[in-house]
Amino acid sequence: MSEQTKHTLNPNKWIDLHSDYMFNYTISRVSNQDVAKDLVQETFLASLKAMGNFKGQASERTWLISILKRKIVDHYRKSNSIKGKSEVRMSFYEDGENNGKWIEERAPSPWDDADASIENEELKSALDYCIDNLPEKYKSVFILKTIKNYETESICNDLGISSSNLWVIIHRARVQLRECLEGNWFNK
Amino acid sequence: MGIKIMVKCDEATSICDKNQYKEASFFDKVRLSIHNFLCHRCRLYTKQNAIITKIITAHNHKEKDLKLDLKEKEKLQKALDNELKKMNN
Repeated sequence: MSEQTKHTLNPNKWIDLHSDYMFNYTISRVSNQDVAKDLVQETFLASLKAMGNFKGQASERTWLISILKRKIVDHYRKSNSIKGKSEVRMSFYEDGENNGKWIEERAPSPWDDADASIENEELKSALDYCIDNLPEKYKSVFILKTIKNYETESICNDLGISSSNLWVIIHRARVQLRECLEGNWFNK
Repeated sequence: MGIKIMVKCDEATSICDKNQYKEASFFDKVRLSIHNFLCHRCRLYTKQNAIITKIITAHNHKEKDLKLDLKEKEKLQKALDNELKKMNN
């Protein structure tokens, strides 16, 4: 084919053709089902309004996903300004002569059961529980980086954060996970 | 030399976290080793952090393929139809 095929939009089929795909795409980035559903709906509505800008160069799905991506970045911008950092408790002193040192009661204790089988399913469930209890943004970043093994750069692009921002989030998430696992499993 | 060798616990643990993904630099790893040599808490953190990483890699995650249920899709369709109507008026 010499002529490039022009893509068209058919909003009546969007839900059938793309809603599951878009939902999965969103859930892996926001890890909250209700938020994901809202974002998918917002994306469809915004896409309707933007149909005039569609040039037919990308496929319908690619075009919808590009709008969804922007919605996800917006979502994180908003949640940044609302909740801020207060969701994760600090584990290190932030000033004074102990600045940068462990806060006594949040420091690691030896784990009773540390040599127990890593393959243990219940241990895995305990960790899943702890991951689930992370604040939304920490949970998303941790899952994308650790479980899905996404590149740092692609996560930063998708969520609209800087790489130093990403490492601060990974750090706080891991400090919190360690403590949660200690309390819920190893030293119950 | 202007290279900072001594780091505090929050920095050391940050390096340790980065190292779980093999993304800590050589100098960072040197800093972490020196810090851990002197600090039993961060030594413990390093050990436990590695356990967390191992648990996750051992239980290879299967991608869940989630689907929106029928009700959700109907809701979406309604919202879409409403918007289309508005636009056609």
